[in-house]
Amino acid sequence: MILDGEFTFRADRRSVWVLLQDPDVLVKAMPGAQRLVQTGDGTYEGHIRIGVGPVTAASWTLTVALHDREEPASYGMKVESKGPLGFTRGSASVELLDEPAGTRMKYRADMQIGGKVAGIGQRLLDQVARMLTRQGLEALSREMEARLSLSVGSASASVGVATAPTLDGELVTGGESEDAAEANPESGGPAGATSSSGDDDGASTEPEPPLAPGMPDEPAVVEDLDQELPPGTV
Amino acid sequence: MSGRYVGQSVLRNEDRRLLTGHALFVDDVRLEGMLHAAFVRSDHAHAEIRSIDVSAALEKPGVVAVYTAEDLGDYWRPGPLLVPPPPIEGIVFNQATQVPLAKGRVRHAGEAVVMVVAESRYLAEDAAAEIFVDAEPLEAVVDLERALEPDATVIHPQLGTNLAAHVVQRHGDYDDAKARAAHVVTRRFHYDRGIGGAIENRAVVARWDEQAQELTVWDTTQAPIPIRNGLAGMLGLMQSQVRVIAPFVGGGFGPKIMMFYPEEVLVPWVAMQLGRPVKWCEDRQENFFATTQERAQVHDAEMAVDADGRILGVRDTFIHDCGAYDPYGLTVPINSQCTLLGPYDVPSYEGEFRAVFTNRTTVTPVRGAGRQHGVFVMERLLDLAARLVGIDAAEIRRRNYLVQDDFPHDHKILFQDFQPLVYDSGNYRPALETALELIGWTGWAEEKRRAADEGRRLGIGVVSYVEGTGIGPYEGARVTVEPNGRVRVATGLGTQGQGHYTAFAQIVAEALDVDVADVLVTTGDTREFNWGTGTFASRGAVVAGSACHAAAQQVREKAVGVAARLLNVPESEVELAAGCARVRGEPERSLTLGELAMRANPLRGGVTPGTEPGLECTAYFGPDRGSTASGVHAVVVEVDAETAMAKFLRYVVVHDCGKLINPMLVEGQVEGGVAHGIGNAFFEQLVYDEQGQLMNASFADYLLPTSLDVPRVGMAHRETPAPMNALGLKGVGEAGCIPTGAAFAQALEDALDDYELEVREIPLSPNRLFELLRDAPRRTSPALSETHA
Repeated sequence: MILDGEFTFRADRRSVWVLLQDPDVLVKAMPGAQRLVQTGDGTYEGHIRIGVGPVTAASWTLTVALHDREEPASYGMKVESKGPLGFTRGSASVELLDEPAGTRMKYRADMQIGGKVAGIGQRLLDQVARMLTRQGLEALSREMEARLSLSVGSASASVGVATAPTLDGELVTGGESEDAAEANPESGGPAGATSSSGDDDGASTEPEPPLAPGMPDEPAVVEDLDQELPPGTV
Repeated sequence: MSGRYVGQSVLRNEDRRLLTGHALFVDDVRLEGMLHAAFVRSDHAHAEIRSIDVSAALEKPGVVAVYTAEDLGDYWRPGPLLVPPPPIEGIVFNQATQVPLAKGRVRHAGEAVVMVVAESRYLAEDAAAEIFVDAEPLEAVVDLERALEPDATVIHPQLGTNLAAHVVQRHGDYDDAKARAAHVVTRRFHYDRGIGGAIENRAVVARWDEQAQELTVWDTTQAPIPIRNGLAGMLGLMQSQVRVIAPFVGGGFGPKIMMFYPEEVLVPWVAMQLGRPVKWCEDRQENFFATTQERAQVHDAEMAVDADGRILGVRDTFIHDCGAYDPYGLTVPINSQCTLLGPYDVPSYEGEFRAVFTNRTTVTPVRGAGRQHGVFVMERLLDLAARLVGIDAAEIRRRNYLVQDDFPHDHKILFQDFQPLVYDSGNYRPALETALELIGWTGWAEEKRRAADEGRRLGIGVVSYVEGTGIGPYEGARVTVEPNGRVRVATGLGTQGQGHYTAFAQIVAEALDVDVADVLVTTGDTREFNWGTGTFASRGAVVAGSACHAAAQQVREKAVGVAARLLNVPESEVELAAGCARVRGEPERSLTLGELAMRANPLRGGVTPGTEPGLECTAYFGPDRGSTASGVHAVVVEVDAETAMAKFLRYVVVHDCGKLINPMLVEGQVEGGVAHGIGNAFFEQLVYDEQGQLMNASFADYLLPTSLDVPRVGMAHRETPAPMNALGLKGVGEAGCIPTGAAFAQALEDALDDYELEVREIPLSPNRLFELLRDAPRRTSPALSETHA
């Protein structure tokens, strides 16, 4: 399964870089993550708890190893998780680009899924992966907002803009409202999917629905797949 | 022989027990102190096992034992090769049979790696979840052609290749035929995997009785006697110390003839190790991974015909997917290779296949057992050739059928039973004409046009097939008249819903003239009958039925002899009627069969030397070779070109399984087969990703056809008796599902004849048909006239 897309943080590259390497932040960004500790330079271990459709929530071990780090521009990631219901393993690449409005993160992950979860959850996996990715990015963005408000002392309405990840390997460019809208037919309109212009979209001050990443013993069970978040707003 | 009982639609003896919930299934076996097994299965399709950590599982409450391959000691060994390769010249066969628990390497997702035994299944499952198998993934070999590429990862390193077999069979000179042909059709065809889909999954319960020194195993197997014999050998016991019971079984369809599944090997062993009964019942998830499957093949086929559409020759080269192991030898691909020839006169044939190992669940026969593929290829080639010649689908078949004078017909290649592929008998064309009449062939153009006026697209298809049935080696039966006058019949094969308790009772009732309900049949209990092979290849009625007939005839002779002595008349004066032996013309001088049974077993006095007591006889039947059943399927489908949804509107089967024992049972077999066939054609497909992960391992995603998808099947019986058994029987177990895909393909093309659509793959689905239609150009003129020109 290919998961790719991009997301714009309203912060400079170095701040985003630091954010993305901080296990205490990442644990909040990963839906269902219960623990994530740094075990070395660029390596992390932890547990997540996830269920998909008919696959009951279970605890998965998680290891993440970063490589080819070009601070603050790009890094690669190897991710492995394993649980009683199967495994996922894969690699991802993350690129951080300077933008007038902040930092644009481009990501592309190639994940293999095996075992029971592949056999029973397949029909739901693509959508669930999209949803969890979006939830995670939104959580990261909120974290960045919190940091900014601490350091700058002012909270803005929105600090991040996501374009929904696509699943067929096609990269959706954040600046092209037409393309983005095409890739997200569910979205309310092109405005919500554009990059920097979304900043002053006052209709989206609160994340919807409320996210609960990192809450202990709270499995991220996705039950209602029709529930689509409007992309691009937080 | 069509008689008072044989040939009648007698209601089933077994149904009272089944319908009132009193039939014993393996899961109903509950024993004191019984433990439960669960298995840790591989998440990977192909990986090296680095380590297995069972320590956490062992600490869980209620866990009694945990076993890895290493813990099995000498008991760990690869399973037997069930069917050795046939003696075909130049054959290559590489053997790699399944193992009880994976050691060193896993070769398909779902392969058993660790067995956990606990006080309950819940505890066993919970403990299994705590076991960590550290495995390093290897390239998963999924694609059949990829498997043969030189740089593909080898699944069984000791073989040095993923090639499991290479077989060439030929007769005549195809190259010469091709040189003389007016038309040559060349195409590639794909067939993909599905499951057997039995309602009851597999299950095994075992109990070791220390006092009796006896092992009892309840098993959903289709072959209880070979399971007993194999277990005795593996466990170092006498065969007489092992009793295998295959009670009522909720559907077999082939996967339950596979021997030995890991669970079948391990549960009896662990029951002996622990001295407590152990149960394992497969859940539906496991069934998708661990029970054998069938039918991925890729065919490159060619047919040469003359200007009139007569077949001059066929060449077919295909790759067959064995899955991870090949315990069942070459039965499936040889069935494909042979059954391709169908009911036709094929003067030259070149059939070649390569069987390959892949990192998917092992392939063994599933209802049809390879026949579908061959029939699909042949029937599709005929349809394509008919278009080139400018004749319709019925006509090209008429022109190519073997005719009455051709029998017995020798195709001069070897069949799955290692015997020459000889058709004993058949009469094909009348079956076609009946099917055409029943489906409405002559008025078809008008019906199709009327539907088109209403905006509906209808299509029709008609195809033929043969089914090699009733192969050896043998089955036996014992028939006993008990003192209460009722008759007991025991045979060694297992029953999975076919109606054996009724069909065999009818055969015995006919010989002894007793009520069918008074004949009690036992199958699938090795204590009741000691010899036999099993239920497969549509052979139960033919082979065991013939044994029942022979044993009943001997009992009849015995009864007549005893009655003649007691009534003091010559044997020729004695007749059997309504449960009595009586003097012909003097019905008041009679003895019941029960009285005869008692008198044949005296407590005092002498008996005639050389005789055996009681009214009991055992007989065996072993045919030289199988008998060839045949038939024609015709279908009308309605297709919505926008949604690509197809509906089966009418379905007709005209089949010939020789003499019918019970038309109602035959109709049930055919209807069930058609449901399987329709599922295989349009609903069911196992979808694997490139890593060998099965992606639709549940009935939410793997679609079985429902009662709404399967029409009532219109049926006509034809009876061309088989010459090689006394009752003239041929098998019918697989007839309903063999040509369904081919019929569906033809009907789709007819319904969508304004598209340049060729259906060269099965299974289809609405999604896949949608893609085919999206890619198919629209025709500018009707199909037939275009190709005719």
